[in-house]
Amino acid sequence: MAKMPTSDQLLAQTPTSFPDKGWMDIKAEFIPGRYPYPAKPETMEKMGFVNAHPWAPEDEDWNLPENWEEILYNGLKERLEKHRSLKVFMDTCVRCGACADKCHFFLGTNDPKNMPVLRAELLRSIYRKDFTLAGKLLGKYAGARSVNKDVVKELFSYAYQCTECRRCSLFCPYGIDTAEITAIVRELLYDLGLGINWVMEPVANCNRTGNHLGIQPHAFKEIVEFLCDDIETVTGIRINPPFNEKGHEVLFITPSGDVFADPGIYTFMGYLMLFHEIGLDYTLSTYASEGGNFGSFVSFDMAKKLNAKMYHEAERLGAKWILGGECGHMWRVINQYMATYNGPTPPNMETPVSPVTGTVFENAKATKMVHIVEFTADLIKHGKLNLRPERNDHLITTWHDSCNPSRAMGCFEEPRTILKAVCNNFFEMPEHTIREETFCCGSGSGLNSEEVMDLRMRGGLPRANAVRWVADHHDVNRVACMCALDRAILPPLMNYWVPGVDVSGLHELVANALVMKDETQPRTMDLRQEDLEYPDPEPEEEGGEEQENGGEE
Amino acid sequence: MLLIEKAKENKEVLLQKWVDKYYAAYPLGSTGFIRTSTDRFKNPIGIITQTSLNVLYDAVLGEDIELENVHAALDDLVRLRAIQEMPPSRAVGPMAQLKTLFKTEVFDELVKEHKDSKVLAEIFEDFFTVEARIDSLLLLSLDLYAADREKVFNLRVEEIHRSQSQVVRWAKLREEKMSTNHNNSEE
Repeated sequence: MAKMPTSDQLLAQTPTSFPDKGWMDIKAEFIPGRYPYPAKPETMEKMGFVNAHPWAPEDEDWNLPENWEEILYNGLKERLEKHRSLKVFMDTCVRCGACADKCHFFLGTNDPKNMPVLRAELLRSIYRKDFTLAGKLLGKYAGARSVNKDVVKELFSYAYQCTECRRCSLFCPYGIDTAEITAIVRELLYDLGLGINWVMEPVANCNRTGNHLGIQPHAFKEIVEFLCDDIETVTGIRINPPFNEKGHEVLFITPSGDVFADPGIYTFMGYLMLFHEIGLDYTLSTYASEGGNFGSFVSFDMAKKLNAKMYHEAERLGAKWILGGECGHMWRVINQYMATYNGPTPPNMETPVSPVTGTVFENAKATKMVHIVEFTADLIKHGKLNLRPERNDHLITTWHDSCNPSRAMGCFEEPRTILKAVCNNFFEMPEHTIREETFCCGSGSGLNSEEVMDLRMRGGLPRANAVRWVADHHDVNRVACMCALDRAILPPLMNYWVPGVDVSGLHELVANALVMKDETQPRTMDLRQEDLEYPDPEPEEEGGEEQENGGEE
Repeated sequence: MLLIEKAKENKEVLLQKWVDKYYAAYPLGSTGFIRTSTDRFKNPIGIITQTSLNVLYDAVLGEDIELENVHAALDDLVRLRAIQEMPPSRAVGPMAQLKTLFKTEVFDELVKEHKDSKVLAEIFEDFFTVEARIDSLLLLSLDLYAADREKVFNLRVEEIHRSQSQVVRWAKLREEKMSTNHNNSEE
């Protein structure tokens, strides 16, 4: 008969020395909460993935196609030839480890394979075996290994514990972009028929109907009209945005999450109010109603396919340039890939010029697309908006630099200019957690499905930890951001780690502060239809109000 | 008070050993990093663990501490452990291991040193008090752990609601319209 173990004995099943096996021999584990659900084969087939098949991460057999090794080899060979960068990334790493503790997933999970260097090594080891002489001759001694089905599983596990945020690449002395390595691994997995549903479903929907939920154009229009009802409730102004109309100067495209999801809808309402106030000549589109490029989470080809819709629509509608909403990966695709994916732009498009200030957006010469944060910052800089930041006085804000617009675009000052103009209370999170060193929300690049909520809480810990610091020290109660995924991801993250801190898009706060020419005075509630803590003074008391750029740092 | 005094004197060593019991749940290859980095933004897991256990150590020894602070420290610690893929026993269990640490590192030595029955009785008394406080923290941890897990499940549900709030609003209105039309046509 065995004796009941003591607590020490019970908890002693922990490794007390380094594992006997090397990392290559430790298999990936599939624990609920860590892996996203597979894509439905029929959805993948619709998008042209010939090897789509039913499979489940926890199953021993993933039903890989018979010639899976050949597919993987050819897939990697093709990409090495196509992307010179990949070849450089495969060859140059010296495993210095500078990237290791920069990854939010490593910081949050402590899993060694979540160090970007080792995550990349998962693919690099395969590359060495098949494509380098040293690897072919020396095998393991040269860091090379042959593929087997467990390696495929490992690739899947860790390609989906990376949000492609590129914080690691910032610290790499060789400039290796580990996010691109993850992107290639995901492409290879799709070749094998291994995709995830949270990404594939929106891709198919965006491709067919134009937005990520697959909402039909008439319903999309009706939903936008609800939001216009809400604007009318708050301001007394009726806005009727044009849809699919030809002959407007600007085509406005934003992530469709802004139309469907809380709290993104308030940001969308903010855009419409701003456009109304400045009299922008624009149209919305139901065909190109998704700015966010879910294809970029699948493959370069899929990103290109979905991205092409923007120029198609601009050409069809005769728009001169495209104004884009607050989004993350949408802007990485635009800024880094669009010009070569789908450029040159249709002949009807011109270098964007702000119709209000006359500013020429030279930076958008190639793509003819302007980020709304650049556009609005320009309006504010020229004093074109009548703002009453006191309406946001109940908010103590901080700014989360969304990875893609910050690291991939360098959008640092514009959002801060806006935020300080529309909120009197603003505090920066600590150095090394903001700007180019910003921590990821922990669930980008297709990881914000609810089934991986546990993983997301781990990956988002470094970001939440920095928010917690400003919440503790400055009573911050609102995180502002400029990415639709952030607006979806940060609420649960805050709710878990820093309860009491809410999330807003930037233009929600802009619209709250925006004094509109024909609005019912005084405004008594914010866009969420909550009573303003510091309501407007009665109309007769106002007059000659100066725009303030107050705020603290 | 002998036991309490000795535990206070040796706080640095004992606290580190206790912290290590918590770190034992993480892969060994990366615990070096948790131990060495002292930046709270570069090493959140390590700093949260150390900061919380520092407060809880004092609480166990009966130092004058705001109960609110003790609760907050425990809350931070359990919140962290609750989403780290470990069984509940491992997530909160190292709390109980502080008893063993006190037993082997403090209590046993004191018992060896002292022969006077009055003094011994006092040492025993102190040990039982400390143990009882650890039990309280363990019980509280159990509540917090369950609440945190519940929270994760709720976050999942809330997210589904949030992500399609306007589509649901649209569908409800369509339904209302259809039933109104239906009723009107019946009249």
